Amino acid sequence: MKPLKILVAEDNDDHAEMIVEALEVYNPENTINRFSNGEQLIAHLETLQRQNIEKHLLPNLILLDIKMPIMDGLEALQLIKQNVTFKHIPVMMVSTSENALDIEQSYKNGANSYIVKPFDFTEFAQKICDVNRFWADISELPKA
Amino acid sequence: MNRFHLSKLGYIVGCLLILTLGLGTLWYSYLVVSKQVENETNTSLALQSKLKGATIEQTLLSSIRHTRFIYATPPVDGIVRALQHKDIDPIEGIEYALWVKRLKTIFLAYVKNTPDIVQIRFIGKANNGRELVRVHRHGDKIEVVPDDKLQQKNQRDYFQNVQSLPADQLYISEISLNREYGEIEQPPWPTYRIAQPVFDAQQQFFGLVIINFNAQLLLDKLTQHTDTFLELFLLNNQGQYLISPNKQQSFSFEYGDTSNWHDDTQAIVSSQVDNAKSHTIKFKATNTVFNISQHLVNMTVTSHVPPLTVITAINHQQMNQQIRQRYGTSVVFNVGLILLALVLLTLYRLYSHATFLRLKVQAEFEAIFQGSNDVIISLDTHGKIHSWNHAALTFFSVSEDTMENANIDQLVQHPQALTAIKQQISTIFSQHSSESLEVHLSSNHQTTRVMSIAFAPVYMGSSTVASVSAIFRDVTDASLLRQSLLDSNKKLESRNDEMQAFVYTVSHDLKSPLVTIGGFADRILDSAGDKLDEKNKHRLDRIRINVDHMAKLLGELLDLARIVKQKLKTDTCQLKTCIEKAQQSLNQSIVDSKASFEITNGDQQIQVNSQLLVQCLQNLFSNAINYAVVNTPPIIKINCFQKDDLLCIEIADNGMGIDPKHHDKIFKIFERLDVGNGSGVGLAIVKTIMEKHQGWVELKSAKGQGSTFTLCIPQLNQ
Repeated sequence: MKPLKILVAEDNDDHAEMIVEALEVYNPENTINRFSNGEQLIAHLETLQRQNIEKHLLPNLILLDIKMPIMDGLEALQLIKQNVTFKHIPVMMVSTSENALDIEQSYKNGANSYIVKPFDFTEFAQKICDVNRFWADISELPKA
Repeated sequence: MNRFHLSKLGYIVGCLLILTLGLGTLWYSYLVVSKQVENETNTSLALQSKLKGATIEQTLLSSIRHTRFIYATPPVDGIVRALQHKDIDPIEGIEYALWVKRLKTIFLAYVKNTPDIVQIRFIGKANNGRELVRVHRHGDKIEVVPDDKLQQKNQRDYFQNVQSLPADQLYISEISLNREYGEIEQPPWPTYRIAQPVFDAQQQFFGLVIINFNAQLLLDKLTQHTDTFLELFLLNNQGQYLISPNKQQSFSFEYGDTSNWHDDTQAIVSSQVDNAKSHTIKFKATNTVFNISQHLVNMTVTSHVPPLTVITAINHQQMNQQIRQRYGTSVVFNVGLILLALVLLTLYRLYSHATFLRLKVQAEFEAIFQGSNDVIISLDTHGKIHSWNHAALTFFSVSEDTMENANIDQLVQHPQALTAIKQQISTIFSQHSSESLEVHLSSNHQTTRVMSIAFAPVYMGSSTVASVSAIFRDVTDASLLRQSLLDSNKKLESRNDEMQAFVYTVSHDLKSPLVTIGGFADRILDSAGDKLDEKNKHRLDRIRINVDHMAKLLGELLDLARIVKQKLKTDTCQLKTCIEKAQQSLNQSIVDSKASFEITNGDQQIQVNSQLLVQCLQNLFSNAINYAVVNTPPIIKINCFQKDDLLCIEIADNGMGIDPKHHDKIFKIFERLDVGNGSGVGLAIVKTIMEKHQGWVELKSAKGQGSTFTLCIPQLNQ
């Protein structure tokens, strides 16, 4: 399995740590960059864009928490999906909120999945793995 | 209130008065009419009797003149002289025979030319009163009787009577039926004779000239030209009938009938009208009553004239009929007048009653108008004030005189308010309706008041707007109240939103550490579980269990918040389907607890939010399982029935039951009874969901007897 470049925006350090652990459970060779809010993530992406980075070096997956300071996940999602360079990168929303409004808004803004953070790490790791595998499979599809 | 008002009593009295007056008038007019008719009839009777009498007198006078003419012809004297001088008249030198011949010629001519003369004779005293010349009419034939047929007449009553008369005196006989040789000639005809004595030169009675008249002509003349309603009687001096309305009675005395006027009638009343005597008499035989007028034929000639009495009579029945005829007209007129008066009175009563009611309504309106605390004015199209109430004077603090000529411009100082009011007035005149206004106006105390003004068109006739009424209501207090209410509402809404946000944030923020605690606890168990001793392992398990419990609690809290917030959308679903969905989500605990279900009327269709109903059922089933009697598998019976427009779902269990003193408590959030492992939110959610559906939940339970929850849902759309 090809190691992935994954960006994670999560303000809660504990949750970030757990997400990173869960992603490592899936594939220890994954490169994971963690940001504390949406703004930092967007800044990172803009840097990549300025460097005119090659397409195969772009991140393979972005995980966004919804509730974050400065710029929340929904806003960051919107910016990503409006950007020509990054709009093809799958975005996974990871939140404690089960609020239907949050879920609906996420999908409306172009999110590719939505995961409610469970209280069970095994379940959480399983969910992350399932979604990652799906997107990894899609990104490895032979070009037509 | 109205001095022209005719009360009900007045109306009845008026009607009675009109009726009494009318009936009185009717009675009086009857009296007048009957008196009038009687007077007129009596006058007519008197006139007629007099006229008839005059006719008789004229006829008799004419007959007398005939007699005197015949008497005065020269042959009469000539014959006397010839007979006394050996058949030759010494004066004229004419023979008797020639005189006789001349007389015959005269008689013949006279009879021929005088229709009522039947016979003319010259009778001498000599030879026992032998007729000298006789000419008579026999039917259409007039003949001179030959000498050998002449008769001796000195035994007849007229001869006797005339013999004793002085010269120039006439004999006039009774009217009787003509007799020949003592027998009534057939057919009978009435006659009378007039004779004059003839004297010789020595003034000795020589003989007489006598004329027989046909009385039928006279009698016919009398009976003709008589008004049909008048009856005519002609009596001789013995009161015997010469003319009677009863034809058989005329001349009945000639046949030996002794009946006569004096015996046949009985006088009842007699009176004098215009010199004619008027009587009321009764015919004894028939008992009929007549009004009569008698006229005694009175001749001015110095002759013996037998008295004749003319009587005109009218039957009382006839007279009453005339009275009735004439009275009829009067009755119609009178009754018409009475009816007209009654109709007029009734109309007046109706009119005055309507006026009374109108005035009453007006007075009531006036009282409302004047007594109103609202300012009421009416204005014309130019804004001139036409009427106002007391409140208007007070509010605008003007006098009656000022108001008299005031315009709305002078009353309303705020330019904005004035423009708005004027615009509404013109709208009323053009469109006949307008909306009410709310404006700020200065009152008499120079304080600004908020006034709500309602405008209404005042119609003249059906469609013309004559003026506009404006009602100003001081809504300052209400306006303040409304404003404060709006403010409170706004605050409440923002608090509510804050609360929603709070619940959201709290649940999120509480969930975050739970995720961490649960996650790391799992990591420890995964990575170092085998290195931990039993005690620490148990402690970690307790952390996990409590994390799950708190997660569930947070989930239900969020559910409750969401249910309260959401707008209810209902659909139709089958009860069985909802029960199955609830069972599926509780699958594990149902299997573990060996719970069983008995469903009645599961096919029932329900108008409900099915998702919420499933949640209700799930909570109730879960309670039934959680609070089951130890070692007794729960049996959950579900029944569904319709009660009026309510649909009831009954969920009964065989659990430990709930003491009635707790029944109120358990539907409150976090109220949990000591036993079991519920979250304390479940029943609050059930109650909230039912209230969302305008329904409710009922509980029947007692300790140790199981519980029966009934969900009552109104079926509004069915």
